[in-house]
Amino acid sequence: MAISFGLAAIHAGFAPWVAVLISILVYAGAAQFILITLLAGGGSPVSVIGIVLLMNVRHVFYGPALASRLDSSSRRLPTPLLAAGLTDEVFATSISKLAERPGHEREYWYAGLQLGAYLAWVAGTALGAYFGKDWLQSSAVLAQTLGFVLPALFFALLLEIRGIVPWYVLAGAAAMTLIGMAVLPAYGAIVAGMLAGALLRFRRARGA
Amino acid sequence: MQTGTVIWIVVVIGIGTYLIRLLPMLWHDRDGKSGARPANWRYALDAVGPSAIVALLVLSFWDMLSPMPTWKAGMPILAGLAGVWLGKHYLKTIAWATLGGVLAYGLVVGAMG
Repeated sequence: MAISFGLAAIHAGFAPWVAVLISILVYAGAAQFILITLLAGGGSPVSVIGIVLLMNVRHVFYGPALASRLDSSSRRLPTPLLAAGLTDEVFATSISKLAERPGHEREYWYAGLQLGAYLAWVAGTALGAYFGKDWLQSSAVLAQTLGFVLPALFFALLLEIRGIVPWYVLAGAAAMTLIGMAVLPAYGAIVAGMLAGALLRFRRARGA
Repeated sequence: MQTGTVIWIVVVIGIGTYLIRLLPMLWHDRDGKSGARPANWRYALDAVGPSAIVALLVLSFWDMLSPMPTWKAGMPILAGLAGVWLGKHYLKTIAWATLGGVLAYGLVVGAMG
């Protein structure tokens, strides 16, 4: 996916070093694809910043959910460090695997996971951005296939975390997102889906 | 758009995204010291991440299939999803599953011309 971001960035007309800078500073997979689309489309700075940050608002809920799984009694690493690499992929992997680790190891395991993911993301972006131009020009199929990278990633993440919450939560979130798409901009539909899932889980837990 | 403008937009978004991740964790740490949340709140928090991922998946399919689903658009997607599932089932990791799906999608796109 990182390589595909590098490819998508140069395809949108950005210099390779700009693509790498975006991955270093923003480090938010799906939002980066939207960012380059908006920038290439000539969106105003205020609207670009607003839309991308709204896309990332879902991360608001990741930190508390993750922190509740870390052993707070033996916290050694500073929270600003633990928060830095909290992407969709790192979150999904963490919540499905942290419980398998002893409490005192969880923090370092998580820190290693996010460091590895960050370095791979930046290196992959550089690979795609600096070497991808020739690949794209030589293959129309590759250019079209780039469009499936994000859906493939999200489906893989769903398979990773599907056992963590009941099926009705996921179905409710999907249904509310679809409804939201009819009346809201994309980021609004995402937030609506998230809130629907959380509300369903909250009500069932309270009723249990 | 000028490169200088792009850079400051990227810097602002980078700082904003970091704060979106950091501040809720800091608030959680502070609240955790004053007492645990009720269990139903914990369940609700746990549901938010998976719900976000489902929402992103729905949104990405919407983009690929709109304005009207067709067989030509649908067949590579079905192959790609099967590739993800096979990659996850046999190779276990998210990265291999994603790669498996992308390869399957690309193969069908290439075969359909």
